[in-house]
Amino acid sequence: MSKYIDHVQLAPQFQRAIRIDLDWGNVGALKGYLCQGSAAQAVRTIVMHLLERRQSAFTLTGPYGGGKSSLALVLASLLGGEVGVRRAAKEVLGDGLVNDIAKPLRVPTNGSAAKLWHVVLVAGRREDPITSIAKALASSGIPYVTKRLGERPDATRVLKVLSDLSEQPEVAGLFLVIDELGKMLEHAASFGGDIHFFQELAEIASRSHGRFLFLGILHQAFEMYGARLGHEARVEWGKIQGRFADIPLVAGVDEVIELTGRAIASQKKHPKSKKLAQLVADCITQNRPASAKDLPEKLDACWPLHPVTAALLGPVSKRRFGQNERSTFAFLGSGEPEGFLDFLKNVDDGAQLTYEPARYWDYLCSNLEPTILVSPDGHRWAQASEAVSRCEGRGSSLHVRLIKSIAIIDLFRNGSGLNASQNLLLACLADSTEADVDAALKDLLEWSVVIYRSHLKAYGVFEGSDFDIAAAVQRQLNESHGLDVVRLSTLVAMQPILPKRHYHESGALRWFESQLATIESLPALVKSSNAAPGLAGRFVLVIPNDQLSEKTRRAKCREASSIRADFPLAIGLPSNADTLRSLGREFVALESLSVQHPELMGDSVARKEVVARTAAVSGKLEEELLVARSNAEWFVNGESLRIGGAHDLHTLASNLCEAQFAQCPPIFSELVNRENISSNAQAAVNALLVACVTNDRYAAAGITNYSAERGLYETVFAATGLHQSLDDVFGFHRPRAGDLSAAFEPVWAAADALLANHKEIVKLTDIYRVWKAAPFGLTGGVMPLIGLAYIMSNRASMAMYLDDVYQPDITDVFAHEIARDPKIVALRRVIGTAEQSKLLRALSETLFARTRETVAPEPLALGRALVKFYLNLPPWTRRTQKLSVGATKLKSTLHAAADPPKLVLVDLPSLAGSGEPKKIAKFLGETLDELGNAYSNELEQTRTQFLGALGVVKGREATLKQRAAVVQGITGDLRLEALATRLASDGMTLKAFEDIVGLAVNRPARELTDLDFDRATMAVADLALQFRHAEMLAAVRNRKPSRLAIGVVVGTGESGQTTMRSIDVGNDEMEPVQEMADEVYSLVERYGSDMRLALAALATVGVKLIDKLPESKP
Amino acid sequence: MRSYAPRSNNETAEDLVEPVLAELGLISHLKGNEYTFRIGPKRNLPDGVLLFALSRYWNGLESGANTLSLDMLAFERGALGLVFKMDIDSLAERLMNIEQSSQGAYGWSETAGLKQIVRIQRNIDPFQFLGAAYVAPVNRRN
Repeated sequence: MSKYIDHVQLAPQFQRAIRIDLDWGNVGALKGYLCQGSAAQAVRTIVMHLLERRQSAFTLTGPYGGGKSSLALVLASLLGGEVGVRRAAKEVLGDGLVNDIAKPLRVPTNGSAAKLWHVVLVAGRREDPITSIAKALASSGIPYVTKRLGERPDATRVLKVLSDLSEQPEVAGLFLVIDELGKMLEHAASFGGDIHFFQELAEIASRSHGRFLFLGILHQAFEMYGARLGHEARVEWGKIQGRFADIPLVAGVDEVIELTGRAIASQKKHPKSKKLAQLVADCITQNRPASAKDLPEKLDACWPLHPVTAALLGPVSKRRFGQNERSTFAFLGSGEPEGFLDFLKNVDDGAQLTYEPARYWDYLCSNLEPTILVSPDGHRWAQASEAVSRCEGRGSSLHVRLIKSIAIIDLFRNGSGLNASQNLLLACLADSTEADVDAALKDLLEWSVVIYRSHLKAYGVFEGSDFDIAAAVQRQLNESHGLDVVRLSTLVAMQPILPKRHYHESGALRWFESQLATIESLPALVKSSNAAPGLAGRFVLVIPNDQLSEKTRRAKCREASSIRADFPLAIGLPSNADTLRSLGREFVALESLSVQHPELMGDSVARKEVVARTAAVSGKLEEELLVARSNAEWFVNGESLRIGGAHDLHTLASNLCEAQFAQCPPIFSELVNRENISSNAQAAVNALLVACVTNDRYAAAGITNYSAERGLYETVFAATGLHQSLDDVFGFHRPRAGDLSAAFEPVWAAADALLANHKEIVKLTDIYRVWKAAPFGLTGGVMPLIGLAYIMSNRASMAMYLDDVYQPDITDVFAHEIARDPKIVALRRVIGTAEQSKLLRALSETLFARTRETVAPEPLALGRALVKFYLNLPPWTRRTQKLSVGATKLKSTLHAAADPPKLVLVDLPSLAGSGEPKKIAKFLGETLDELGNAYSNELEQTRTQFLGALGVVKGREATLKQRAAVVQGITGDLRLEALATRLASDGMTLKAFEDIVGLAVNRPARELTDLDFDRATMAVADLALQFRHAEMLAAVRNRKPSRLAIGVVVGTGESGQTTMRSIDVGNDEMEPVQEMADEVYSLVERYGSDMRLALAALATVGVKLIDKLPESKP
Repeated sequence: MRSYAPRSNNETAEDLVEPVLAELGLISHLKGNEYTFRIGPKRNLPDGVLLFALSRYWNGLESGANTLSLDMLAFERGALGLVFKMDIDSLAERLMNIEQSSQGAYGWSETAGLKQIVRIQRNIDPFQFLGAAYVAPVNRRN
């Protein structure tokens, strides 16, 4: 499949524009030129002016691509070219025209002796006209011209040279052409160049009796270039234009078609298209009888442009779509999407498709819609475009092509001779049958997308809207004077300014707000501290009202900028304030239209137009604001800065940030180094915090996978050196000079200072506040992480609190709270540096008094000694609950102690509830004593009970040895034997008793728990009973059976209170015994069957009786 | 879409600042779900970035031609005009000074009315231009 581009090309001469100075003397550049009627007419008009009004200064005005430059070049060639060039020029102009102008213009003959004109060709650019003309003169080849000009010619000199040259007798005159004169005028309008130069130029030309011919080429009227200037200046420009005769050069409709046909060169025959061209030509001739006779051929030459499209090109090229005028040839030659070249490149030629009007609509729609909408055709375009989109919603592709064709013809038919009649529409859709098109048209009528205008016998786009936006805006503008800057600043989205270099170097995401303000509101604005989080500063662009003088404006801005503000501030005075004001007024007016005109609600066409206009104005406004920001004079701290471009503003922002946050440590994590972090990032922060408190002794805080928290760990902790391995142990360390972490030294120091200045606890949020402020400017996102690093690295010297409760250890709960609610997290440096050495000495003495070991007054040594003391305590002491609150806490602290210095400097003072060394030492002394003596006290208490149970009277413990000797070897009970042996050899020392306790429960006493000890107490009481029992048995052993020996052991009431006595009763005494027993028994029986009560009663009686009985000999 | 036309939020501009693409100003938000390309001069686009993109585009072309027409740069897929949403006039205005801004790597040619960019140096590394986008001194005056 071949594409059109393979055999359809644009003739080369149409692809290029003439550049007047470079194409001078180039015969080829002349040959492609076609001198059409309109051009010939323009030349004749010039000559007429010259003859009749002695006017020698002309401007040639016409749309882009109208052949103005070419005409000027041809004229210049005719007057001053080489022989060959002159001949070519004559050829393209045609004999008729040349003959008419030969005499008045003194056109050189073909002979070599002919007097030529000096020709000076200037290609205008945005610079001073004097410089441009001087340059062109210097390169014109006129003899000695550089000498005449001298160095640095000024206006007077240039004019003099021009005038002198024109009067030289050996030439016919001087022809000066300035192409793109408009650019020079624009330059003059923006930079205040001297426009009066042109006035003098015109005057010299007019006084030269036709020897100095000036031709300036323009696209629009002189004063239009000065539209940005004030009213008075425009009047002045108008006067200057009056010195020139303005010759319009606009190609006629048929001329454009002819040129188009010549521009499109097809190597393939297209016989079928002829019929279509004829059809369209008939339609045109019907409406415009004066059309050229060969119109069908001309239209057909434009193939593969559809004849209707070809006929539309001329009218469209005369429209002014804002600044984007498109000449016919720009359209043909440009590769814009949907454009002609795009069509040639992408469409297969086999399908016999043409570039039909519907395609042309698409081209305009996708490339130029925004500019058309704000042009004078905007309203009609909006209606047409609305009709097309309504049709796209419900119709087939035929409907859509049809409505697009109708829309574009209806929009641009004026002067073309086209109208959207039935026949023409059939021609537009030549591949469809008449019946289909008729049916589709009927549908369109029915949908109210098109209407039939019977007076034109043509279809047109349904006019859905009669809202006149321009008038409404004008009314709005007339009602309000001045600009509501406050309103405007809420409507315009001013791009915030990112201090990029600072971001790049510190990783901290900050931004500067840009604001609009009036001069009057400045002081209040500067003082207001109402700022969004993360805001680094403000750029305030002032739109002054036009009554203040430049000097006053500057003074006021300077003054306001020197007021001390909470954060960096720059006040800018834009150089384009007038433009901003007028655009701003228009924008505010447009924005309030929908409020003022409720009828817009039901008018989608008008709404589309309003939206488009608003978008266009806001686009322009944003563009101007960008310009304003970069061109403004900025005031910072009362100093004036001039910066050179939009991105320099970012540099200024970075400079301000660096001045403000000079000690901001670099943290390169876009996840967290910002004010508001995402919920995913928050989850990672939480996970990392927990990992850090539980696994801080491990590499990467024990995170082995590559999760988000691992990424955070690497960027925030590892890369900064906050968590690293020192002496082969990982952990959080305080930043040190000469290390990665050095940048954090000031950050730590600031928090240290805050803690040192407060005796009471300091909330984490207070530390955050210091870090957030200058010169650090840490962002909200990194606070929890840096906060934790600070806490972890200072564990040894600071006490941590949650909700005012002391936390001996940093747990995951604590980590959670750091992230969740830093308000309740607090720190305290318990011991000030001044008290520290005092405390250490006092503690060292206290320990010495207890252990008789000399301990160096250093945190580490003291901590170790304390831990050692704890480890030397009997296991029971370590386990027991029977201690005072202080002792219990100290015990558990010592038990958990992993960090000796922290134990001494943080935990001890916190337990003592005091920061005073004396009180801490006293607390420690008392508690150590309690701990050290707890076991022996407990043992002693049990021994006292044991002795009581054995019936040992205080002070007579020595008798126990003899009693044990009696018991020894008679019981056969191992434990009792052991007890007796022990007592017999050692007596009841505490050491011996400890063994006895161990004996009682079969475990070493030191290792007993509180529960074991209770059991042991019971067991030794039992042992004591057994002992006494054995003792009694020993007393009755080996007696003669002559008497009845009775041993009685009675125990009542209190534990171990037993009474024992052995008695002997002779056989003869047995009778009363038996009688008494019977009587007692019957007494017992009367009381019931509960033998327990009976025994208790007997025991009670027994104890009484024994007490009464005189002691027998042992 | 949000990276080009970020949601503006009254509380913080962080979302507005972060997407670097937003700063190019390619797309603006109209109303509701309607967005529009913002075609225009792009004055805050640094020359360095423009030249970087030009060099990448050019180096990626198959043809080794040392000239590139303005039309092509404005309208071809992947070329400056479509990428940065610049109209042909604004693009021309920017490229006219290309010889200065590229320090002689490229040139602007308008011979015979055909506007084109000429590659003057051989083996152009796109990265050689990026640095220029970062250096911008602020001049103090008073």
